[in-house]
Amino acid sequence: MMETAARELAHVLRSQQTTLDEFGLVALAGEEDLGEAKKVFFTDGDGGSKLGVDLGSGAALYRAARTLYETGNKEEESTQDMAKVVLLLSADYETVWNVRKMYLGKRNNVEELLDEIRFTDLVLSKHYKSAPTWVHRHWALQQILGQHLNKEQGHDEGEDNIGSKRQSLDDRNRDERTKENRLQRDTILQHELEICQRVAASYYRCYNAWSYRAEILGYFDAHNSMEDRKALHHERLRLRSWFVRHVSDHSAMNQMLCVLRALGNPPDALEAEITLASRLAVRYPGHEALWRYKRGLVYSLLQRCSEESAPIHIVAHLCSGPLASLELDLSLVDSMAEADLNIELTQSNHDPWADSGDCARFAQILQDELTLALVCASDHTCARSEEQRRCALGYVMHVLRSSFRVSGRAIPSYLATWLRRLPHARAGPLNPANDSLLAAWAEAVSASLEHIAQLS
Amino acid sequence: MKITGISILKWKEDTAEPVFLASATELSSFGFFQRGTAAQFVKFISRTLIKRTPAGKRQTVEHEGNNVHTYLRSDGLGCAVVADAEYPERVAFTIMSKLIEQFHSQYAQQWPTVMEDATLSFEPLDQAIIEYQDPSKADKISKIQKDLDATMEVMHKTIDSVLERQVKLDKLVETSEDLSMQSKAFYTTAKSHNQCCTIC
Repeated sequence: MMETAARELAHVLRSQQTTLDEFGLVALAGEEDLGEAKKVFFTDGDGGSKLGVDLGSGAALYRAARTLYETGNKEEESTQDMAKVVLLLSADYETVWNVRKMYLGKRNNVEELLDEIRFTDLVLSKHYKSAPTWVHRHWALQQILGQHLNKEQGHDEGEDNIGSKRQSLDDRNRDERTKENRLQRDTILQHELEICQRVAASYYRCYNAWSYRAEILGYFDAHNSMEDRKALHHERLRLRSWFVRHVSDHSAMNQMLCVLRALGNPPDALEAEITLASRLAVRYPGHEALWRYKRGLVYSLLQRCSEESAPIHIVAHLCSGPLASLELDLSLVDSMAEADLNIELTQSNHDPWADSGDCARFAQILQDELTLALVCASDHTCARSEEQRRCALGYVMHVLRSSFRVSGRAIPSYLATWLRRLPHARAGPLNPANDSLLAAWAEAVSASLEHIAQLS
Repeated sequence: MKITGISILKWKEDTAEPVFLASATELSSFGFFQRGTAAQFVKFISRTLIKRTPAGKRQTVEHEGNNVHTYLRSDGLGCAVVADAEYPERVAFTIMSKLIEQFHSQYAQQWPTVMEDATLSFEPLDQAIIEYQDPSKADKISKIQKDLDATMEVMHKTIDSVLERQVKLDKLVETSEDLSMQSKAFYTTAKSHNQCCTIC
């Protein structure tokens, strides 16, 4: 009886492959309740797009399907259809995936490979962690992009030039095919990013989904292609709206760092992301992921500063400027908390300040960041203030250390001493009159000014 | 950050268990086949934890990546919010205070006499679960209460410390009438596979 069910399921998978988008195991009511034979599987939802298999029958169904698969000829379509049933129930069965790779590889048909990707969409709706499934999906993607869509690009070497008229027609045809392939490639890659988004929405911080999403970025070439740059920009927008609702999702933040790297780490993009992250860190205090993410952004930004010794001069500027007296405006937290999270992004190709490596701009960003971090550290009325203080102070340490590291210099000892004392300082508003931490800061500031003066 | 469910309950110890007065859930992020079970678990955990909230107190219990915030007024009208770990706690309690006030002004005579689960129509609740998925929408209320917030006392407990001695969550799941056979089966299977239970 299970064999029949397995065959029926294989048939459903084949005939409804374009409509099915979700799969789940459900504990169905027992025979006594239905008064009829218990259903092994069923479809439900809009247009029958949700496939459900009875939790109790799952194991028996799997065994029947597996027997049918193992006793069949692997080259035959019917056996491979049964393989799909096996994989739907046990997605980690790597051998079966690999035999499918050989089967599909031999047939080398784009439509079948696209169907295979759609099938992994279905499997992943339940088995989101299954590494062999993600790998198989990537394999199918590589087959499509590598063999089929790139075939028409570039000139065929063996072609003879037989008459200019015919050649120009061939060129036009080739351009048309290239354009079509390009469109198909872009659609496929967008779908890949969207599927990762769908999995991430259902299963928080799924490592395999996010790793795959980062790998997909490797197919985009921002430097040479306008469309790819646009696609990466859309990915950036998607991630920004994701951050606002998932403030401790470090996987998404890592993905944003990968996207920015793929775009070449343009300073204005980094600045926009730092602004968003800062506003979120103030509005939703105490989430370490956001502060760690800011560290990554600031480090990338410092590396873009054109002059090697510039970070040190930036620190000098800070030490002699508003931070020296640490007269912190605590209302900064309130205004930041209400700041608009919808920051306009420019998509222009020309990066307004990357070329000059505008040090004044870098200095302003660093000053704002350090000021905000010290203000956050001293705000003990916010929610999760302990964690917020710890994260903010760690961030200050990181920014100062990085400034020196990026220019290949060691941190001066007085600054190192001050940095070591930072996390142990008493909680509460930073008050110059009675806080030893601030007294030490003032000392460190004057010593560093002298030191820097000696360097230049 | 999301709110999975908000419920208004009555617990005056004149019934065996707290009774539901109104509730709303937001389950679109769950898989199609998990939604029924998720709704049942929200009901189960809300009822279980309101029962174990001291009168007049606010309490947050963390369980498998979710926070269950409960507030039981001294007159026995209570509210439970099931949200994820990111959702700001203070905003949750601010929303709860407001909803309880509004519910009482609408059903002041009625609710103390309810002895069985009811589904009283309460529009602010249906609106709240949609609108306050974004905590900044609730911020306007919380700004007025900012001074109160700092002094608002919330007890933080784990599920084990809130349950009585010798009482385990597994046992409560097994005997609960809020959960169908299927949901109980799902809970047991998920535990044995060491996976997250369906709510998260």
